[in-house]
Amino acid sequence: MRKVFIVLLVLMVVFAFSVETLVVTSRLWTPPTEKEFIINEIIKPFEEMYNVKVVFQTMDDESILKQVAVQEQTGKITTDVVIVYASKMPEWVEKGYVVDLTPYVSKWTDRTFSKGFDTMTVFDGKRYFLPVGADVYLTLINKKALQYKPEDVDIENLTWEQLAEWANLVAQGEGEGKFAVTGVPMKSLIYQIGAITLSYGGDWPNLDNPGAVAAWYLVYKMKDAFAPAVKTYDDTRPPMKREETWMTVAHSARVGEVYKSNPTQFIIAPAPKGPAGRGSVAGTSGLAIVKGTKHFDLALKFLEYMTRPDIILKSHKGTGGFIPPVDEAINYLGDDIEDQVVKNAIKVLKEGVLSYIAPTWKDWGQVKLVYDEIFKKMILEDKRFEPDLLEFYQIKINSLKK
Amino acid sequence: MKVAKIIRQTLFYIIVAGIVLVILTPIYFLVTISLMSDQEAYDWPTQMIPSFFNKFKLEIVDNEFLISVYSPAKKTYVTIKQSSNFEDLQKFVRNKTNSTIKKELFETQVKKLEKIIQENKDRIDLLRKERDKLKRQINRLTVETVRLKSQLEMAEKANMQEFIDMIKKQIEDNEQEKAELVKNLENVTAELDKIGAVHFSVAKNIFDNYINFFRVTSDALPALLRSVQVAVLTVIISLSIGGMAGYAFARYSFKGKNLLKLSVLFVRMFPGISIAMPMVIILINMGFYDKPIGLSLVYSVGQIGMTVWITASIFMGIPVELEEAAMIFGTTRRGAFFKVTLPLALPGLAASAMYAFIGSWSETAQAIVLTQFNPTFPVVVYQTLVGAKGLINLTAAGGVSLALPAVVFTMIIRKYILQMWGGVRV
Repeated sequence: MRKVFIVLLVLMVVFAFSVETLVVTSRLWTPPTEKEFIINEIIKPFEEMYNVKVVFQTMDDESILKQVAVQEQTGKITTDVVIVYASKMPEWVEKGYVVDLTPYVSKWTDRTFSKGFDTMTVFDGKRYFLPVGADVYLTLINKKALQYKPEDVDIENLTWEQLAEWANLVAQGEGEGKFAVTGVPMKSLIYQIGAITLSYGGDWPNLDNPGAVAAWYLVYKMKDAFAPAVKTYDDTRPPMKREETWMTVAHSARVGEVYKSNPTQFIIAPAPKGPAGRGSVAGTSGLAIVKGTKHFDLALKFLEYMTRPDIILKSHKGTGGFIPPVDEAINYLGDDIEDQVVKNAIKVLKEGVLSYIAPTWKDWGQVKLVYDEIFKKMILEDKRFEPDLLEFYQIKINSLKK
Repeated sequence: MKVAKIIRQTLFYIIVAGIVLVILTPIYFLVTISLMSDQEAYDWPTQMIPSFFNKFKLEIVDNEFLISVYSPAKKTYVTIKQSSNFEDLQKFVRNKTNSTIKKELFETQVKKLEKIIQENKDRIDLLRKERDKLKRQINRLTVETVRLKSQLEMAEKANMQEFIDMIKKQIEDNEQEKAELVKNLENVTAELDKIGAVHFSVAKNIFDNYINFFRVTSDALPALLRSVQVAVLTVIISLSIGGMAGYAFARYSFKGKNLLKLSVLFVRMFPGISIAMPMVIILINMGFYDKPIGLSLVYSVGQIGMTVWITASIFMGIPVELEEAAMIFGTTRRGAFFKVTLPLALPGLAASAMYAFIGSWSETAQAIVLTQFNPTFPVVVYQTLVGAKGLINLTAAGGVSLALPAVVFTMIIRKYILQMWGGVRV
């Protein structure tokens, strides 16, 4: 009797202390401050609500894929939920690592996932990913540049021509360029030039069309406006923060981060406009459940919670300037600094000429390299506008299509 | 002859000083940045010494508080936040400058500010209007001058002398006018600073980045302990296996000894990351994946080769006659090893322990792949570095925290390092 009592007591203690644990691995919210916000302000209430534990870890897309691949190979699935980038999603679906969420999501009637991202998250009519952390491009100006601003320029309705002229005036006045793009290969230059191409009605990322040629001509006209150390920038945040550069058009969350670091020093605005409108490459990450997880129900609850309009806005506001890709989330927007960043991004999303990374590329990194090479050769080295070069590189772009 | 000697000595000291500079500069930079606030770390040019106090300026603009911090690099106050809410302001200032403005201090300064504003209200309004007007005029002149300079370039290329002189004159006039306006602006700003703002200083928490690093990377402390565990296990495994092998290489002669000795180094020639993926599968099947023992086993593979070479040379430096003499006096072979050879080889073993410790302590590439929920400290620092592009001071704090235990360990056993390459004297 005594033994039975002890066993029962032990079992009670074990059950009392063992809580279900959900493992979430994300490529989003990697900066430590963002991670801290997500863990303390978003995940903690979820844990308390369901009396569970969530292990939230961050790593790059490639590592997440490798980790889950090993788990699938060994049959020991320890990752329950992943957050991966749009360009990687086709690989996850092709390999069969993620669950089709269509039957579950269709029951959630309080939210509408922004249609613009369906091309990335829905495959053959099946929704495998729930969009989260969407982004577009925004303009960021240090107030120091205002002394060179031509009088007729309205920053909210800035055109690419005006920005180029302004950047050139800054360069001439200061004796060196103050415009930042990412000059280190395989970073975000393709998206920065993509924004211009789309503004000129181009077919991005192709190079053999009038829009692309016009965009590259504009970049050529800005050849002296780029900061001298542009080749060393893999991210526009550090040079903008240390005021080495004064102007950039970059990823909304990163622009938001710099803006938030000193709102009295910077001005943010939507991406500039061109003859075809306000161009921007848009991207998103997506939440998915790993096939074979032992905690499917809890993972589904987590997805449902993370994409609730109020929660998705809270998480996106607290982590820079990501766009909540749930239409109803906009109803919760206020007027503080974070809201301003999100509002600007939503403006680009709603009014913009947008394009996405289509899942038609063998290796997106190589496509990025083509843009890096043209920029290096035509803008930084030769300093000569060569439309023929664009035609030539189009051959390379074509060879990278699946 | 004497001159040649002086030149040789000078060159020698220049090289020594150069080496010291090359080693110390990055360390100094890292430590300094780790003690700087976000404001200081991105202030350009970055200061050589972190500050211990922050000087603030408080103004009231559009019925909101506008706070500025003094920038030693720019030698002026830089605005950082405008808000009507004290809590917002306090939080922002703390994150930006590592200084916490206490409510009592803030309220005192606000009272002071309100009093001087009350006394100078009309003058302040006038000066602000004047300042805005001057800024607009300077802006117009700056743009015009820059445009004229472009036109001048074109005129010079075309050799149009008539235009060149005209434009040059215009530029000169503009610059003169601008210089006057800038001077006026400086005067207006200085007067506004006196009658429309209050200044105060607040101590800076110099270790705030370290506190923040361990706060925002919630797994940093357990990861630090895990790293110690991994390093100690690596030292034990590599010393016990490598040490025994080293002794065998030193004391016994057998066929293919040299080839075998050379081959233990082969394993170090492969990049660790290339074997990391297959290792994951092996470790999962062994039940060692994501555990300190698994990582230390992988690290030991590389360290054993190094230990074999170091310990073999140490044991070779200890005369075999000493062991034989001990055995003549009645001890066994094992006794001779433990009582005579091992104490003499201890300095060299300590040095190879240092190599093993540092090698496993700072390794990141394999640890990223071989851990999932239990990362080591370098992985945590790496993840912070990847994510914290705009937070260089936080990353520096992580880097210094990572280096510190290895530095302490090296300092403890530094006296043995010189004897590492078999320099044992009997």
